[in-house]
Parts: sequence; C-alpha cells; structure tokens
Amino acid sequence: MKDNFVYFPGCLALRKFPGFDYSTRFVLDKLEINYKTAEDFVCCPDPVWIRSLSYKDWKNIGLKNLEKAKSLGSTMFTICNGCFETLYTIKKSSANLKSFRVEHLIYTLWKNKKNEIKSKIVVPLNGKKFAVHEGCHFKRPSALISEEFGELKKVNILKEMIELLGTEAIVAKDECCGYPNSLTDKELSYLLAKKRIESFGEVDGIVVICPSCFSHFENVLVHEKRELPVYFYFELLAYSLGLDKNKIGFEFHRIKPLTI
Amino acid sequence: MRLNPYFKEEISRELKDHSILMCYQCGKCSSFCPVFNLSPEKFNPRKLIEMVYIGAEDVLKTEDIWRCTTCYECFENCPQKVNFVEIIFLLRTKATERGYAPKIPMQELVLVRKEGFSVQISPRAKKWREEVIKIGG
Repeated sequence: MKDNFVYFPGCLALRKFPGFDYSTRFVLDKLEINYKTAEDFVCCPDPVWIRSLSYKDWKNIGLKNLEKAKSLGSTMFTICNGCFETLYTIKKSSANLKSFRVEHLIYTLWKNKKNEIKSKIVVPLNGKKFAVHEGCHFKRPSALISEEFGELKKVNILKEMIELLGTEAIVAKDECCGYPNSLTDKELSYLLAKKRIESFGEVDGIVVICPSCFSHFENVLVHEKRELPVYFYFELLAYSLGLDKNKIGFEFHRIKPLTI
Repeated sequence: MRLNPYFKEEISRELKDHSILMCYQCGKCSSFCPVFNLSPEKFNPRKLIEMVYIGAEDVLKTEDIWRCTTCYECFENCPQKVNFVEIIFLLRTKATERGYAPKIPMQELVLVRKEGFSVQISPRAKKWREEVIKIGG
C-alpha cells in the first residue's frame, strides 16, 4: 500500500463512542497501515441535515476538512457513512481535488488487507450469526459512488469482511435504518428501524459501519426492550485481532454485547 | 393555496441536472420509498413533485419535506433518473431561508457554525479516552 493515508474519525467516534476511534486505531496499527490525522478536523458535516439546511455551510466546511487532509496525504478514509458521503461528494465537485481519494475504511481494508486480516486473527468469532447492515450512504447514489467504487454495486463488502472473522453473515435487502427521521418524526424513524431489524430474522447481533446507524438501532432496540447487541465492525475486528475486551469501549453501548 | 407559476422553473434552474423536468409522475419513487410504504399519508414523493409542478410553493411550509430519509431508493429506481433527493435538499434549503426549518436540526446547524461539531463531547467519553490511553492501549 503506497498511499499516504489520512484518518478522519468524525464526530460520533470521537465524542460519543470513543471505543470506535480506539478500536480503529488499534486495527490500523495491527495491520501496519501508516496514517496521519489532524486534531483540527471538524464535523464533516452531516450529509442529511446540515446539507439540507445550508448547502453553503455544508460545502465550505467539508472543503476545509478536505484541504487539510490533502495537505497530509493522498487518500483519506472515514469510519462513518455520513462522513464518507459528504467528503466524497464534495471532493467529486472540486476540480483541485480530482487526484485525491476519499474512501470508507471498510473499503480500504477490503481492497488491500483481506488476506492479512485472515492471517492475523487471534480470536475468531466462530459460531456467531451476525446481520450485516451496510447503510444507505455507503453506496448510494450508486451512479456517483460507482465512478470510483464500481465494486460496491456488486459486492456486499461488509458481509465478506465479517465472514473473515469466522462468523455467519445474514444479508437482507438493503433498507434504511431510519436514523435521519429521528430528528423530525421519531415515530416514523422507529417504525423504519423496527422493520429493518425484523428483516434480519434471528441473529446474535447486528453489525454496522456507521455510528449513526449504530446509535439509532440501539435506541430503538432499547425502546423495544430487546437485548440484541449492535456492533461497530471495527470493534469486532479489533477484538479478533487481539484488543483486550475491556479496552474496546463496550461500556458505551446501550445494549451490552454479551455474546462475545 | 397560493400558486406560483414560476416555482417549477425556479426549482429546475437551481438543480444542476434540471432532472425534475423529466418526471412523468409514474409513481415509482413512491412505490420504492420506505417512508411512503410505512406511512403514505405522511410522505409521498410523487405527490411532492406534483406540488412543485403546479406551483404550490406552500409545500415549503409542510412537514412532509422533512420526512425523506435521503436513502436514495427513489433515485435508484426512477426510470427518468429524476434525483428526488436533490430536489428535497433544495426544498429544505429554501424552507430554511424562509424560516420554516424544524427546531432540532436547526440546533445542529447552529452548533456546527459555532463550535465546528454537531455532537457535544461527553465528559464520560473524554475520561474514558484519557484512562485507556493512560493504560497504554
């Protein structure tokens, strides 16, 4: 891997679910991926609400993050679908960022590190059955995303990446988690999430690659009094690569991940 | 209902691809929309485009435009490649400029403008980070 990587953690991983950030950094170190990051990155910003309310703010703030990242390396990766969508979309519309790449880390690892991950697993998750939820903003709008990530149309990357850890992956037709509506119509957002969760059937947990999907699924499951754990993929990967269970940040989950 | 005969042109002009003009009201957007399928009385993408077509500018005052999850199912399945999500973004931006934006998302915008983040750091998260790093990870 010759790229000079830049890691963009995003708001939720730094401010609400610090274990997401910590697990990610552990994974990057274990897989010997050199990266830089910036203390002064700000909110990506959110591709649903900030973009809706003020396109100008959304674009200008996103551009500042991109320009900062470009000064540090050639490929930026995010660990959030929202950050990915914002930064990729703004980059695509900026002539001076044409050669700069924006990826979701799950793609970076899928593309470059599958074999290495397999060989470095010390705690396999054999026997577990996890539902995978890639999330809308990871691969849509497909016409725009396909310009640089054509594979995402054909492959469920998260399914392949979770199977690497030894688990069975349950894939249901792509559907929305309902998170964006949680700010404007909570009842609808809960109904959407419940429908999505039901589509998975009986599983040991739900695995996501977006902190917003994570947060929304957990809130709805708690509301429904269901003890179904939700996992952020990079937590599970870190665990399988040897990170001490007490350092993953599971205490920030609202539903304790009892199954591992 | 007040009608603005120039509303459709105004929206079309501001959309880069002018794709709203390609809509022939087949309703595929609605049939694939997860929100419509759960609650058709609350959100109907086909109907929203129809309102723009007839110049019903008051659509900007409705709660409906804030119920799209931007999941892109509509755009992915539209035979005319009408980018409904871009239309929703534009309607929301216009509604915001006229003071109709819902309160909670507006608070996020205020926070981003003021502090750079829409999520406040929790003291618990801050403490955990310091402790884990101190342990040595």
